[in-house]
Amino acid sequence: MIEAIDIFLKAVGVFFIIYMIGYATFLFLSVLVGSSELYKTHRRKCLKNFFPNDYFVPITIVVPAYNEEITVVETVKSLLELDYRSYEIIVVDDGSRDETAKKVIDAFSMHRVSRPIRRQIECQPEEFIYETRDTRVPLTVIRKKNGGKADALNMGINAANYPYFICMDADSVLQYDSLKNISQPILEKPNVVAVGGLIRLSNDVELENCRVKKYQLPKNIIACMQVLEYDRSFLASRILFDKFNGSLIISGAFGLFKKDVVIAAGGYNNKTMGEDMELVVKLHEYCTVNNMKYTICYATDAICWTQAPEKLSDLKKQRKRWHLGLFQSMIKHRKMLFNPKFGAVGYISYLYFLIYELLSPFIEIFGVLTMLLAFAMDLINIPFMVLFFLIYAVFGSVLSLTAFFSRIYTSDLKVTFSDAVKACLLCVFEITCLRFVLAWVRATAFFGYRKKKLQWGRIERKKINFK
Amino acid sequence: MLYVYLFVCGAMIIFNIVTAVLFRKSERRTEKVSKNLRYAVMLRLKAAEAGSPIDKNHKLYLSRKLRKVGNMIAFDKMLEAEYISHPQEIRNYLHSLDEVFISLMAYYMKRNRIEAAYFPYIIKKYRVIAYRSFYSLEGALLELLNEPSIYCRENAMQALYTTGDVDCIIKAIKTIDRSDLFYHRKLLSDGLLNFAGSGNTLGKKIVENFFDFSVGMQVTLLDYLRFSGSEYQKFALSLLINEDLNDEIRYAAIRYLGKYPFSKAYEALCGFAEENSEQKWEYAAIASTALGSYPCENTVHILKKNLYSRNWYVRLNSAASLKNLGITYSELSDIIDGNDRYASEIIRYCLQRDYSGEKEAVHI
Repeated sequence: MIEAIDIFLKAVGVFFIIYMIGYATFLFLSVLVGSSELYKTHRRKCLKNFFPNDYFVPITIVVPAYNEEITVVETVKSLLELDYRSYEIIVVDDGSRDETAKKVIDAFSMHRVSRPIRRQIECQPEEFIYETRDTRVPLTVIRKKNGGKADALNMGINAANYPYFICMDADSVLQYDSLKNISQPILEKPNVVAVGGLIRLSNDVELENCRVKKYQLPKNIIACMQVLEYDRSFLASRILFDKFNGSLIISGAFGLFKKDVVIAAGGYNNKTMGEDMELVVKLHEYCTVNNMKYTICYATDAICWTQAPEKLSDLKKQRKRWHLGLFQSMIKHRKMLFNPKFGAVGYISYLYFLIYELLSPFIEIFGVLTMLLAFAMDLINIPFMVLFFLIYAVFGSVLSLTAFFSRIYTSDLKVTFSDAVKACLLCVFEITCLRFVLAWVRATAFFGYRKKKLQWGRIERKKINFK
Repeated sequence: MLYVYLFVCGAMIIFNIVTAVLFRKSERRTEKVSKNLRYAVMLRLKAAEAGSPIDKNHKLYLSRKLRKVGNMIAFDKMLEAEYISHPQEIRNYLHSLDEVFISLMAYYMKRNRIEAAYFPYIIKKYRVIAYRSFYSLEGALLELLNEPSIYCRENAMQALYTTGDVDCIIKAIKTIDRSDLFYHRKLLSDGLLNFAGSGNTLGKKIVENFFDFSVGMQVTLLDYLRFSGSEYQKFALSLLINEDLNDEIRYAAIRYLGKYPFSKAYEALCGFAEENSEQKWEYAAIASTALGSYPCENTVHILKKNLYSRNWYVRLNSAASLKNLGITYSELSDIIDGNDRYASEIIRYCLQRDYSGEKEAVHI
C-alpha cells in the first residue's frame, strides 16, 4: 500500500514539475514579450509613430445596461466627452427593474420615436425607443424585454448605424483617446475583425473629462490585488497571443468589432455566460472555416476604466461567472483543439486556456490535497517543499511587479513610494493566498450554475468618480 | 531548475530598477539638451537678424548632434516652444539648413523603422520642404513609401502633402498603388485633403491619370474628389454610365453626383434607383440617397415607390431622402396609413427624426 502511494506521489511530483515549468516558462515569456511590446508602443508614441490626422472610422458604442440607474447617466456623459468625431451611442436597457432607461431619457431630454429595427441577429423585442440629436453625437436608448447581456448586445448591434461597434459595460469609463486608439489597428492592418482594449481598474482613481487626474492604487486590498492580477494576465494571455493572432478573449468591458462579420457569425450567444469570450472564439472559427483572412488584435493604449469588486463575495460571484463562461466557450468550440486548420489558435491558445485557465483550479486543489496526503504519510521533504513554495511565490511576485511597473512607466502614470511598497507587499499575498482562494471558487463554480445561467452578473455599484 | 528561476527573478528585478532609472534620466536629459540647443539656435537667430548667414560649424554641429534620436526629440521640443513666439524666424532658419536635413534624412533612413518614421514627421511639422523644390528630400520620402512600417509611409505622405507639388503627389499615389503593402483607403482619401497646393490642379491631374490606377485606388480617389469639390460632375457621369466599370467605381460616382447634383445625371440616377433586381440592390439604395438632392415630382414618385422595396436599405434611404426633400406627413399619408407595415414604419420614423437639415443615410 505504502509502495503504491509512493509511486502515486512520485507520478504526481513529475506531473507537477512539468506543469509548473510549463506555466512558469509561459509566464516568463509573456511578461517579457508583453513588457517589451508596451515599451515599444511607448517609444512609437514618443517618436510620433501614430496617425497625425484625425482619421475617423465610424463607430457605434453599445452600452448594455441592467439595473444601472446609479452609474448609467455618468457613463453616457463620459462617452459624450470622447475625443472622436464619428460615433453614436446606443444604450440598451435589458428590462431593468429600476429606472435605468428613464434616468438617461430625462438627463438628455430625449424624445420617443417609432424606429423599426432590422433584426439581423435574434434578440428579444424592444418595448420603446428614445433618441436625441441635441447631444454632441446621436444618442439612442432602447428599452427591451429582459434577455441577458448577450441579448442586449445583439439588440445594440441590430440598431447600430455604423460599420464597427464597441461593446462596453455601463459602469465603465472610456479614456478620452480610447476610440482613436482602438480604431488605429483598423487603419494599420488589413482584415481586422476585432480589437481588444486595455482594462484598468478605476477604484480610487480620479478622472476628469475622461482623463486621469490622479492615479493611485485602490485603498481596498481586494481591489488593489486585482490591479496586479489584471496587469499580469493582460500581458500573459493578451499581448503574447496577439503576436500570432491567437487571442481568445476580448473583454466585454471594452472591445471593438466589425459589425458585418459579427452578424455573419451569428452575433453574441445568449445561452452562455461568457458571451465576450464565446464571440471571439466564434469569430476565429467562423473566419477559419470560411477561409477568410482575419486579424484579431489588441490596442494596448486604448484604455477603459472599470470598477473592480471590493468585496470578496462580489469577486467570487464574478469569477464564478467568468469560469463558467470559459467552460461553456471551450466546450462549444472544442473542435479547435489540435485542429491543424486553426493553426496556433488550436495548438497554443486553446491548449493554454484549457490547461492553465479551465483546469488549473482543479489541478491546484489536487496538488494541495496530494501534499496533505504526503504530509500525513510522512513522505514529504518539508524543507524542499517550503523552498519550492517560496521560489514559486517570489517568481510569481516578481513577474507581477514587472508587469505592473511596465504598465505604469509606459502609460506616463506616476505612483507614490507608498503605492510602490504596497504593490510589492500585496503581490506576494495575491500569489500565495488570493490565487488559491480564487482557485477554490472557480473549481466550485459549477455548483448550481444552471439556476443562474442567463442572469446578469451583479456586483455592488458605486457612483463613478467622474467630473 | 530552482536556481534558474531565482536567476530569472534577479534579472527581472534589475530590469525593473534600470528601467525606472532610465525613464527618469531620459526626461532630464531631454530637457538639458533642449536647453543647450535653444541657446545655440537663439544665437544664430540673432546673428541672422543682423544679416549674417548660418555658419558651417553650426550646420555641422546639428548634423552630428541630431543623429541621436533623443537629441532630435529635444530639438523638436525646443522648436515647438520657439515657433510660437518666432514663427517666421524659425521657418527661415530651418530653410537655411537644407544640407543638414539631407544628411540626416540619409542617416535616419538607415535606422530602425520607428526612428525612420520620426524624421518625415519633423519635415512635415515644420514644413521644411513646403512650397519649394527640394528634390533630394522628396525622392527620399517617396522611397519611404515602400517601407513595411505604416507610420513610415504615412508620415512620408504627410510630409509630401506639404510640398504642394502635384506631380510629386501623383507619383506617391502610384507608388502606393503599385505596392502590395496595406494602406487603408481612408488614410489617402482624407489625407489628400491636407495637400498644401492647389486642390483644383491636383483634382484635374487625378482625373487625367484616373485609369492608370487600380480599382481600389480609383474608388479611393473618387472619395477624395467627393470631399474636394463640384468640378468633376461630367467625369463622374462618364463613370456612372460606363457599364464596363467595376460596380464599386460606379457606386462612388453615384455618391459624388448625390453630393453635387448634376441635371444631366438625373435620368441615369432614376434608372438606378428603380433597379428592381435583387443582385443590384446596392445601386437602388445608393441612388435613392443621391435622389434626395434632386427635388422634383418624379423623384418623389420614385422614392415613394421605393418605400415598398423588399430591401431594407432601399426603403431606409428612400425614406431619408423624402424627409430631406421636405415632403410632409400629409403628402405621405397614403403610405403611412397604408397596408405595407414596413413602408409605413420606416417613413414614420424618418419623419419623426430631427435631421436638422443634415443629410444622412445608413452606411452600407
